[in-house]
Amino acid sequence: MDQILTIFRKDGRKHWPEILASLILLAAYAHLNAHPWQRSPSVFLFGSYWSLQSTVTPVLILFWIFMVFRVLQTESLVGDRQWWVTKPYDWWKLLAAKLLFVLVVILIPVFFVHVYILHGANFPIIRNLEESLVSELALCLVVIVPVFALGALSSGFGQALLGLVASFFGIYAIFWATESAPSGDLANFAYTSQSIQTFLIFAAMIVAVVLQFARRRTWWSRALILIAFVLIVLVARFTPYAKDLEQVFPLAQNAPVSISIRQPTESIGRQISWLDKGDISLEIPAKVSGVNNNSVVLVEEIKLILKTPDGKNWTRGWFSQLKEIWPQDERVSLSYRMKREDYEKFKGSTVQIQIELALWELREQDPAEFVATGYPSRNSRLGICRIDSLSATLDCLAPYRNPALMATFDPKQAQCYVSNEAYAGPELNPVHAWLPPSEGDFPAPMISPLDNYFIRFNPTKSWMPNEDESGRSTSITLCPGTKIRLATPKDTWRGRLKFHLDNVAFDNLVAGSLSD
Amino acid sequence: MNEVIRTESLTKKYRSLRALEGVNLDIREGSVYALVGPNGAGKTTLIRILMNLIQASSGCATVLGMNSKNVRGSAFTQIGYVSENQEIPGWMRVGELLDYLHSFYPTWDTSLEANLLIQFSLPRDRKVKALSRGMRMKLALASALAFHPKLIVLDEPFGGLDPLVRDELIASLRERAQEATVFLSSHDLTEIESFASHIGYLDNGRLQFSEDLGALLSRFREIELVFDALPQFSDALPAAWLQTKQSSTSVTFVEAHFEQQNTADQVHRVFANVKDILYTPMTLRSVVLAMARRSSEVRPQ
Repeated sequence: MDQILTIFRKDGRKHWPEILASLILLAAYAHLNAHPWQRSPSVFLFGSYWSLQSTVTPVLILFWIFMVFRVLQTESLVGDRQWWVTKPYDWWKLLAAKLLFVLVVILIPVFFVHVYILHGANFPIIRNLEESLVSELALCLVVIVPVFALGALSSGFGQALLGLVASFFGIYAIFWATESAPSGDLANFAYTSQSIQTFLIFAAMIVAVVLQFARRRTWWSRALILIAFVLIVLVARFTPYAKDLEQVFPLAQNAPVSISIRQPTESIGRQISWLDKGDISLEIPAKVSGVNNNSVVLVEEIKLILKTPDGKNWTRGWFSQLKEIWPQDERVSLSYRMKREDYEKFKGSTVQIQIELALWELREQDPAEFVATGYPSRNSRLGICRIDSLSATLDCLAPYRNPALMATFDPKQAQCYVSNEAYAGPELNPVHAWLPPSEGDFPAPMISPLDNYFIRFNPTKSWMPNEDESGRSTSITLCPGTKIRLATPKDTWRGRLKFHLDNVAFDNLVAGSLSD
Repeated sequence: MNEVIRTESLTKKYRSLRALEGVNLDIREGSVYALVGPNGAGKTTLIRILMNLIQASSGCATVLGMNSKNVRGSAFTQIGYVSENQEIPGWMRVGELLDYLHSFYPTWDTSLEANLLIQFSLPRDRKVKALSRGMRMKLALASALAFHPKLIVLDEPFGGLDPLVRDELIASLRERAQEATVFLSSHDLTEIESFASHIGYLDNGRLQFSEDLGALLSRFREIELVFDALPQFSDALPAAWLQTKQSSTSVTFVEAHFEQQNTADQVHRVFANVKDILYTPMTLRSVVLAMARRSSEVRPQ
């Protein structure tokens, strides 16, 4: 312990200017984030004004990275000319001293910032203690571990910069592998694959740091990180994403929603223009009904298989959809992406399409009423919320993470008028909002304990009586005094449905006009 | 006496370059062993392997009875290592540095530290980066001696130092040599001769010889043969005769295996008409130079 404290004290003496700067930045951060809804002063940077509140966070994190890197480099682990290498340093004590520095100079002050901000917002401190500690652990994993790896495996800023560039290439390779894998869009859904990848990278970094401290085998340690990246790329490329999904969403005959896929008409394609990275967006209209009251059915994923009479088959596997179907909804427009070169193969042809949807029903549980106000008001489920003056949105603050939520209000019961920009339908339906459950997720590495989240109520879609497919959005205003029904979503059903549609003019599926 | 350092067939390769080749070395406890040799001979490589700063390609080395691959951490409580290449933290003051090191060594001797500071005229409150090269070397040596190490390893400790500083360092080493084994590499043969007990000559990665300094100096002689007429060879020159030079009435050479009677017999066998033989003892510098010249003569081009 003596040696740990001796090294720690020495680092403290050497790096006191950095420590002081870090504490000043953190104090500024705490001051600016204690009242997140107050307008913070602006600074002029890179030719434009930036809010001080949003500027201080990246500055603080970058400064921490710089400081931790400098502290590690005081006893550089790369090379053979360092003076300390031939002194009786116990490697684990050296590592412990550096970790102690991070604990004392970063983590403990951040903990006090959490306490200060929670206390300022009147959120209970003791009840949020566990979240605070887990959030700090996340901060360690996401910021400190990579900096330790970078600091332990490089001999200076030049090498560290090269390491960063190499990491960006590695991350790009992972994205590329995920994107090029069949159904790679499900990567966020593939928990096993994600867990393996997360484990691989963090285990590799931690083992590399320990190996470097214990044995100073720089090339072995670097090779370990490289191998981890290669393995992650392989996992990203060869994970059977579709299999994972198909296990969680078994093929069903009956569903808590009735969906009928409709022949796309020529008019649909010309109204939405959405082209992304050369991808073509296909739109498939569907009629929906039968969603239970107090429930929502989510179209999580979609898979489209195109078949031509001459036997050509095409699919890109599963794609994220995230469409909500509420009890009053009658239609939903499903979308799918296609590469430009694939589009060219099917252009002008008549196709048979097979559609698979992964659906998820959530039902309200423990409903309660909340009256929206223009000023910040407190609610045990939501935290502190106020109406966002510009839209039908509740702007809320909660400690560490937003609650999983289903929210509904009836615009007819609202105290203010509905602004009807385009078309006022004969009847206004209740409007809904949904926030996904996040209890199982690892918390984000937060410096502030307050999660600023938004409950956005979807504008209702009214449909012209003549079956115009376009639909028109009616803008809803959330006004003070509006009663909102809040409930916790309960996962009640998951399954897959299959649909077939013959003789579809392929061009009618295409959303938006194409530009060459 | 125990062997403090031992190497067996130690080899270090850098791609195609062989920095060390099959070095076998035994350094006994209590000796002051000087490793000499020309630049690039492999002296620093050998020391770095012993200090576990780099790894050997093959062979093995033990230091204080432990495999050199395990020389780390607490092993350095018994080893004082000083190298001209080491980067001492410049931001610390002299006193701060020594106080900092104090806690790492259970055997740190504060009175010895104070004595060394006085002996080396090191100001406690001066920042390391403000010290001259010689002062830094003295500080490094003070920090390597103040804990009574069993083994002192010095890599080119006198390089670039003025004679006064060299003398101070040597005086200090002499004092410490009573209680420790000293292993050093150096070019300063004159200084080494004054206090080394053993010497090893490394050239081109190979250990050419390793022996007691006194024995080495006694087996080398500069020999001058005097003739009345032109020297007449009656036999081939012995291999132990180095740097043989001939003039009209004399022949000089360095005898590498000198024993007066044997050498005289050999001279008479080779030169029938030799009139007189003059034997001159050699300094370490002359011996090493003779060895170096012979190596460069026999080294394949």
